[in-house]
Amino acid sequence: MAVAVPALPAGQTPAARAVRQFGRHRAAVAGLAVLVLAVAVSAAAPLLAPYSPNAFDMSHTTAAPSRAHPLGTDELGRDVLSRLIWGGRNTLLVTGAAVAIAFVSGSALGVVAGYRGGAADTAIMRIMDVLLALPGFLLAVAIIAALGPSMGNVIIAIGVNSIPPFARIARGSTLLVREEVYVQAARTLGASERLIMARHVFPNILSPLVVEATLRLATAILTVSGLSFLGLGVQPPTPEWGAMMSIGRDYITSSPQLVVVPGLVILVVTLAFNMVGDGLRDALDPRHRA
Amino acid sequence: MLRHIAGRVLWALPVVLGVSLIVFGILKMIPGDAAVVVAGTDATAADVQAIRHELGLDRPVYVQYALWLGRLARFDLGRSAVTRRPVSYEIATRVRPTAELAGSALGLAVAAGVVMGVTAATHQRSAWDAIASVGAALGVSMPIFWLGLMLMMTFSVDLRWLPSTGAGTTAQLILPALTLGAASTAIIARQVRSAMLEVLQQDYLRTAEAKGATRWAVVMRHAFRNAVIPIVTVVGLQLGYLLSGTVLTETVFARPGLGRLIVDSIRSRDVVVVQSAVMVLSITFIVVNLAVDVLYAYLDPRIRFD
Repeated sequence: MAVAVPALPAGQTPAARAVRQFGRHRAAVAGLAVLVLAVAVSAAAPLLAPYSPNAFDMSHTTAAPSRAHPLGTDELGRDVLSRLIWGGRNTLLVTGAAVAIAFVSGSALGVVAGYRGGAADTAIMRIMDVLLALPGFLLAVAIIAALGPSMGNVIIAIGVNSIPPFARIARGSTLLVREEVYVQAARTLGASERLIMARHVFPNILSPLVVEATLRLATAILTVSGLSFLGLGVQPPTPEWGAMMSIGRDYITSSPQLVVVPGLVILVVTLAFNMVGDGLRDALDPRHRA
Repeated sequence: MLRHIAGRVLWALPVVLGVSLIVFGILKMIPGDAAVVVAGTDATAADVQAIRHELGLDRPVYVQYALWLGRLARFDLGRSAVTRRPVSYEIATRVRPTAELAGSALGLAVAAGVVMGVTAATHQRSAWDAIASVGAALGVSMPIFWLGLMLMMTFSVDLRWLPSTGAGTTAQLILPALTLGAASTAIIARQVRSAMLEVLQQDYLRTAEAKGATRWAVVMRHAFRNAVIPIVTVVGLQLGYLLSGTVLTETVFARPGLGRLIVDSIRSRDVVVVQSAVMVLSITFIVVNLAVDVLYAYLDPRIRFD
């Protein structure tokens, strides 16, 4: 049974309004441009990088920037620019995968907790409380201590430690949406709990979760590079921004660019995630609209 | 009030238990035989067996957990596999550099954050406001270890004003505290600004101004006092970040604290030390959060928990 709903004129749909609102946030648009560029460069790493990230040249180690090597070379004579481009691929991949895991499992747990209530709610949220009672970075460090340092384990560690905020937000929003007429209607029509949660609740609580995911990416990239900097994340010789700084540290007096440049890149990308997150919040959450 | 505090304390107990279960469980997953690590390279199979028995590693997991909890409560944590000294000694000697670092970073963040936030709010849309908001955006986006290395490069290597490593003197504390406190300063400044802007619009502030109160009195006595609650909230939220951040900060500045102990012990596979140090930091975090919760009730007379 289909009910004819008069279509809103183009430009007045909530999506169009959100896009317009986002476009007015200049910092957010700039941030989005930076992110698009970073992802494009990472994706095109094989085409863009002037050298192989692992081609070493022991006769030209820690060389200053030159025409052949715009950002110089590292302690093994590898081209820093090429490692930076390939490193972005790894850093962004690990960050994105970790947040994706947290987004999916955190939202699912939160929706179930909020929709079912009762024992499921208590059990899920108490576990989230306990996870939140551990200082975040420390939890990631402890997980790495157990699993061993590797790219996959960094994704797991940061994925797990980012679950609670998604679960909390999803639960809170579900509690509101659960009482909406369209959910009651679906229930009356005999839709299964799973179908209601997936098709009626989840799409309607997406906005705050997307905002959280964007801001989480900023935190996650700092954690990813931080773990690698400690030697607990992506392992050499794999290029990764934090790992590059970890080694560059030993040459900080003679070749400061080995530390300065990857750090600046992390700073710019993190800033971009934060700005896009702020812009999305203004665009999607009416309460935050200035 | 007392009931509220008692309730919070009672709630903290299962949380501590849950955290201990996670820490124990996570580190139980470490591949390899802890007894082999403890026994060292030139131990015989019989030695390893003896050590396994001594450590209780031949008992069921839940017995091991219960035994570990019991020892934790008595602060009898066994010996480090690397240094052979008691873990409680290893931790006790590392507490001070970490406490000094986290404490001074927090003090710095609160002081600088409040000054920046209040200035930005009272001079809205001025250059101060713009500088504070750009500074806040940069502060939260900066990799803490990068900031540390940049400060070290500038003030220790180039200018030679401050030492780059170690702990004990005030000079050795300045750079690490700045590094660790920067992001929290940014977040606190942002929160203070928005809390102040909200309060500054209230009618009673116009009344205060109308009756002739000085600008300073209006801002500090009437406005700031009412903006304290959201500020305490955000300061509370920073504590976890500050405790976690000591791991990276202490590594950058070779500061012999708990964070550095954790990283070093992970590298040397010294499980007992990692477990105990993570537990100590986590319990500290829970206790401090509890204190913040109780502080609310004192600060805000509107909060009455029954």
